Amino acid sequence: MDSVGFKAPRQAAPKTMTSAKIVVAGGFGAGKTTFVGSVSEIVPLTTEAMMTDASTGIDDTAATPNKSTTTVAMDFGRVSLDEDLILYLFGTPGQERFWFMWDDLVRGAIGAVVLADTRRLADSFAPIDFFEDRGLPYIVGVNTFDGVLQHDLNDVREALSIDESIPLVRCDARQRESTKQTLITMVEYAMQQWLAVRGAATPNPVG
Amino acid sequence: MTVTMNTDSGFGSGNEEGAIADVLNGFALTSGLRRRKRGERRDDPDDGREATGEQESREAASSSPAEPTDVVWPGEEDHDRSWTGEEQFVSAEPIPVEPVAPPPAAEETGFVRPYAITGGRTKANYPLELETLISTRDAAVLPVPDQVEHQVIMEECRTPRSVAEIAAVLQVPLGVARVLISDAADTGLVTVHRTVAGSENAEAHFMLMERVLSGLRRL
Ligand SMILES: Nc1nc2c(ncn2[C@@H]2O[C@H](COP(=O)(O)OP(=O)(O)OP(=O)(O)O)[C@@H](O)[C@H]2O)c(=O)[nH]1
Ligand SMILES: [Mg+2]
Repeated sequence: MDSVGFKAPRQAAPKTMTSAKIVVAGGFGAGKTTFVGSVSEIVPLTTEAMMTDASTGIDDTAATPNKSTTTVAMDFGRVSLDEDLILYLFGTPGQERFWFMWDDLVRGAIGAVVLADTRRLADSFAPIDFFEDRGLPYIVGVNTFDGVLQHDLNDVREALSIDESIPLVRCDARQRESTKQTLITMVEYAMQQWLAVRGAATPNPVG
Repeated sequence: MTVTMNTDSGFGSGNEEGAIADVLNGFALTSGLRRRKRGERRDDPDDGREATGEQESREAASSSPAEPTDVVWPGEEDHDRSWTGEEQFVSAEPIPVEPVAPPPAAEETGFVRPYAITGGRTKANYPLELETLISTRDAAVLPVPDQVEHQVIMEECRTPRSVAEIAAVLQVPLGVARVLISDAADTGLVTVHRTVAGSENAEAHFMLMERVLSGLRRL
């Protein structure tokens, strides 16, 4: 799947490596960094890249260069899944004012996990809307803060107005095993979606 | 010259702008407290569309790398993926709804235009996604790069590193990292690995998902 037409003899090029990407979205404090960190082999790295990009050079005469260096914490982790396969997890704030980051994030992604904090479910609306618009497969991970599931999962589904078919799972982002299971559910769902979409007219799930 | 450079190659289709407008408007109007309504979509352009600004695209100067040594060639992938090799400029600040929060105090000093280290260039010759992997080339003799950023990239990528990791290590914006990596690839310092994920090859994407799934199960 990685073959491309090499045009000339190459000097000992490194073995072909493959990477994949999963997006982790959610409101402030929903557990994104914890989720990414619980499976990542590196301490989640933070980049403010896209925020800076999007607002750089607004006006070089404006006396507000500060404006263009507003930081936003997008953290990402790395999980080596095989000798030649690395999975990257990108945790990103779900607020709509960060929407300009999401194009980079969702392009080519396998799918997304929306972490929902039952105390602030409305924070999940923006990422859900966005992923639905893009046709990016997503599942919802409901954090059970303090070990108490404050809502019945059906109530959560209702509150989020998401389809029955979209997996809604309990998730303790602090537990590696729980995070892993959540990711597995997400990839399985993305594969189901892929198979479903293959029968339909648009084989273009991510846009 | 006062343009906003947006190096995100995913922008541009009216479709996406419409999608964004949906999200923006939904929340601008209701402070995020509304209950979501499924299937609620706006088709008509409205002022949310201006969120993205009218974008002018400039044709990429399709200069090929000097030596054909890389795994991925500019323009060689089937680009259903939205990388176009085009630079995109938006004419207005793309965050119209809420004022951006003021930065931490530390950020207010020593502002340097991020693209200074690329000589103002914003274009990358390769489809460099966040997760695209870069490896330092294994050649017996590699030129010693002049630019310290290239030295850092070569050091980092002795084991494959993603574009996002390189941006984080260099502490430069993603768009800047893309130009630096592209230059490093053009000069034969690094190899850009092909990024499988995406819609350009649905079969490959499915195989990738299968591999990721079994990899996760083995964790
Ligand atoms: N009980 C419980 N606590 C959690 C869970 N996930 C995260 N936390 C805790 O919630 C707090 C916030 O978690 P973070 O991972 O920092 O959340 P975040 O989404 O990255 O937050 P911001 O980046 O500030 O938006 C931390 O104290 C975590 O330990 C969970 O699944 N269950
Ligand atoms: Mg965080």
